[in-house]
Amino acid sequence: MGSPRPPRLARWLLGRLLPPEATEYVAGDLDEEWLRYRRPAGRVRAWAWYWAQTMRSILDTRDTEVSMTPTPDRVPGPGARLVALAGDLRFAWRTLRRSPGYAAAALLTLGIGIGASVAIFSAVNDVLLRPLPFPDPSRLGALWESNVQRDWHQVEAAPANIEDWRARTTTFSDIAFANGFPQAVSLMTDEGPARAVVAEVSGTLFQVLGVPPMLGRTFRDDETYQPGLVVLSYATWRLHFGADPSIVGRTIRLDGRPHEVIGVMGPEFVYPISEADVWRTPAAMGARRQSIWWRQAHVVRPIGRLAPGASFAQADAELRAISADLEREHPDTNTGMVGGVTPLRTFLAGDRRATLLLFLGAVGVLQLIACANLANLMLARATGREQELAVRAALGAGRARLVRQTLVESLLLAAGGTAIGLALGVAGLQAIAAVSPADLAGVAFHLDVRMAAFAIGLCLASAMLGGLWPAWRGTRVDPVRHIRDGARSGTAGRERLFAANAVVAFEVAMAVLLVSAAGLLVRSFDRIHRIDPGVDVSHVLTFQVHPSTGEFPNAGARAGFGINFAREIQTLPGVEVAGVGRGLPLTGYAWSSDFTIEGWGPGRFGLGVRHREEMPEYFQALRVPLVAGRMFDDRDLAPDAPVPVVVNQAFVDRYFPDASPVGRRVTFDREATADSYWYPIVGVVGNERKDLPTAPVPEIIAHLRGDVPSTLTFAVRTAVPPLSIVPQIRDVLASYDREAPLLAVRTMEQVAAEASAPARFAMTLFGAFAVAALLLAAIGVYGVANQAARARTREVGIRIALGAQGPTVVRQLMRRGAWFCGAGLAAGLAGVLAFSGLLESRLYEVDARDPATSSSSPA
Amino acid sequence: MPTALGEFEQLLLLAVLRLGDDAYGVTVRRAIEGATGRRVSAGAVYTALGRLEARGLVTSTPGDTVPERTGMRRRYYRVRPEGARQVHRAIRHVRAMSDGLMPEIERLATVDPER
Repeated sequence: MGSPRPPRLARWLLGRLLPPEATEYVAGDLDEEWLRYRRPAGRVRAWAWYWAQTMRSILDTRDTEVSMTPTPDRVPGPGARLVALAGDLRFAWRTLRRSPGYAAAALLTLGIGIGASVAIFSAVNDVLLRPLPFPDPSRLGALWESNVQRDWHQVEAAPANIEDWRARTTTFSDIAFANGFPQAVSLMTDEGPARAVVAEVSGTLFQVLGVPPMLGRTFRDDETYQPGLVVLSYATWRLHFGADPSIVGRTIRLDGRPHEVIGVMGPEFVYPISEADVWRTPAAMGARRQSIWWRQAHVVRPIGRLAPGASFAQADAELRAISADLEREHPDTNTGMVGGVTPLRTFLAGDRRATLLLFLGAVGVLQLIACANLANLMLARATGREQELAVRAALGAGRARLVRQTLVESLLLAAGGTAIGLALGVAGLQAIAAVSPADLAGVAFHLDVRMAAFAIGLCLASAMLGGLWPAWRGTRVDPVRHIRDGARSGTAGRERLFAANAVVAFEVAMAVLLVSAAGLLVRSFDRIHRIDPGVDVSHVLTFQVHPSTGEFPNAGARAGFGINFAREIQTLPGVEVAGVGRGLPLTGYAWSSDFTIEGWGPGRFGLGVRHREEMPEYFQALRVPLVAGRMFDDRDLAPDAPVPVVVNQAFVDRYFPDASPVGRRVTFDREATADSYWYPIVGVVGNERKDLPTAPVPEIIAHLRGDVPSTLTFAVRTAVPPLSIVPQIRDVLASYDREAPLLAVRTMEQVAAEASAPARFAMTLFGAFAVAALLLAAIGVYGVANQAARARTREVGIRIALGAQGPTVVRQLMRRGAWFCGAGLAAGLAGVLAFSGLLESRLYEVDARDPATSSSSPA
Repeated sequence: MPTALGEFEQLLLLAVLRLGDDAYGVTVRRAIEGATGRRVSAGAVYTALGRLEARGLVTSTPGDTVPERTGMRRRYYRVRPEGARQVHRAIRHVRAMSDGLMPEIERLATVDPER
């Protein structure tokens, strides 16, 4: 422990803000007591005590009426401004304490606005602004390939192209890559099999990122295609290997095969590409280096570090140039292929950037409403204090002095509101992280320079926006008239009421904007929710199994495992049918490839058709209808039989609008060669949605024998609650493969819910903003109506005394308010039209200018 | 006619009287907090005592430096005769007005506020 010393800043403030002759004694008193208090109370409490005493002492000694120093305004010297400010603060503090209702309303209003802003800004900060945790992160880029002909936008690159880029580049110091599709495999630990997500990285990826391991080493350049080496994440090392310090050199079983641990990454390392528990090299992929696949398969994500002095623009231009060369050298695979680079931070933020900026805009609107409310409250108070201000002005207080006093009051309120807002915001962010879909799950609050600057900036801006106008208007008093007329000013507040009404109109406009946006999103979600996925999602259990490569080394063995395992599941009580294949509805497409149909003639081919593999029971389990032809059956299992395919209705609509494709043959090449494999088309099935909300696209679905994924996906239709049969399935699996865990166990209903989660999330968040906005606007309207009524009490009294009917007077009062609300509504609707473009990308089958939604929202 | 003493001023004068030669900021503050449970800042004590001094009710003298005050002096206070007269008068008035009333005051003070 260091030598005990009172808080330095507090001491400094005492020296600055106490009357000079008091400083020595008060500060001495505090030091003396602090020393005695520190030991029994502990450091934190002693520190808090010292600060509380300092602040209160400053407030208590700046009593202008009795101060022995000249009045603060006239104190010469450098501390004068601070002393004057302290006096203003003290005065503001007292006035606020005298009207707790007003203070509470202002604090609550600001707290809600700032809380929402802080929550969303935290997410923006986490996702978009914080530098990545690597050395010199702004020099890292994600490389990609795009192809307009194939409708590919910044997809993964083909390994052969990456190798050529790497050999020819001068703008990158190195280009490494990672497999874009990590897999969950079995990991043998001391406590039995566990699941581990294995990411495959090229030899120099860790060097490109610039992160050394905590233990051992990472891969070397010449080890990219060498099997059997593994680097562990810190979490895996702690969780599954008891943080064994001598783990390097140990052999562990991963995916059913021995791997040598060569290193462990530190706890702070965050793998930027995907989830990852362990890393190995893409050794299996290396076996296909000599085939055409090497340049065709867009499966790996290149990551590069710019060479010293190079810019992203130069690197992008160079990649384009190299791609053009490659296009000439390999026209069959590289036609239309354009390489490029995006800064890694931007690339990782991806779609979330647009979403977050939209949310940020929404909270900005909410914040404006909150500021308007503050302005309103302050205007209302200014009305109540005209007399006081007039007297002060008459006694010689300059207008600047009065404005400053009002601003200090709004600053004090804003500071309090910011404190409340920070607390609400952190809580709100935790709620967002908990309920949001995968892309925002786990966003965290970081109190860093950007967050602090944001909070302080927001506080000052709120104080200015909320306080400046009321300060200016409120202090424009004519002392002579006010003091002479006294309380006689019947409708003197007219001008001020106009101001308040204008503020309310503004609030209404902003609230309409948010409510309309929320309304559009609700309708959009409703549409998405009603989309027919083309499958029956009820009573279906889904899960995945990655058969360990050690036991099932090749595609044939994996297919045998999948088929036999599914058939045995079908014998379990409560199971109707069990299908196996690649993927599920509503989880995205797997592959795409060009194809041609037998008899189409030279030069005619189809671009980028989606394809995957399934067993026939998959269609039964999900109740995908057979539209024409036949489904796969046992004949297709014969080793010498050709691998059959079915196509979906969208394929027929696009390529065979007038005929049936059944009986034709298809191959996944643009131009058939002697080596082409011809798949007979045996049937047509209904469209199923692979993602929301895009419409189904043409698909070719091959029999599982065609290509067996290393992770098999199962869909099981049950007569009993789907999750109730999981234990039996687990037992059956153990009899096939002791090491493989059951992965991603979900009902199909859960899968569907996850697919619409982003829409649901945007709707929920905007709904919350809209409710808050309405609440704040209602507070504003109430406040002004109340104020208007009070200011005109005298006038109304006189009118009634002169014979006016009660209802007539009420109508007259309401007309004015309604006129301003109407103006606000109109402005808000105009705003909806103006900003609707921003929202369009988030909407599905709802026109952003949808009049029904917009015009019903004011109700 | 001198300004009547405020409640806080009465408490201060009584504390200084009670503390004798040891009346300075820290002890005065502790005495008042200990007897009333009221939280008082060092600044408030100093300001109010300064006001009493200006009205001629107390005197003060700077003391010696003490190590735990990092070289800063204490300021010791004593009650002047006029201060004693005024606090005496204030107490006499309260006594006179409350004479015989205590049972009734206590009865009223303990009545359930709900009824």
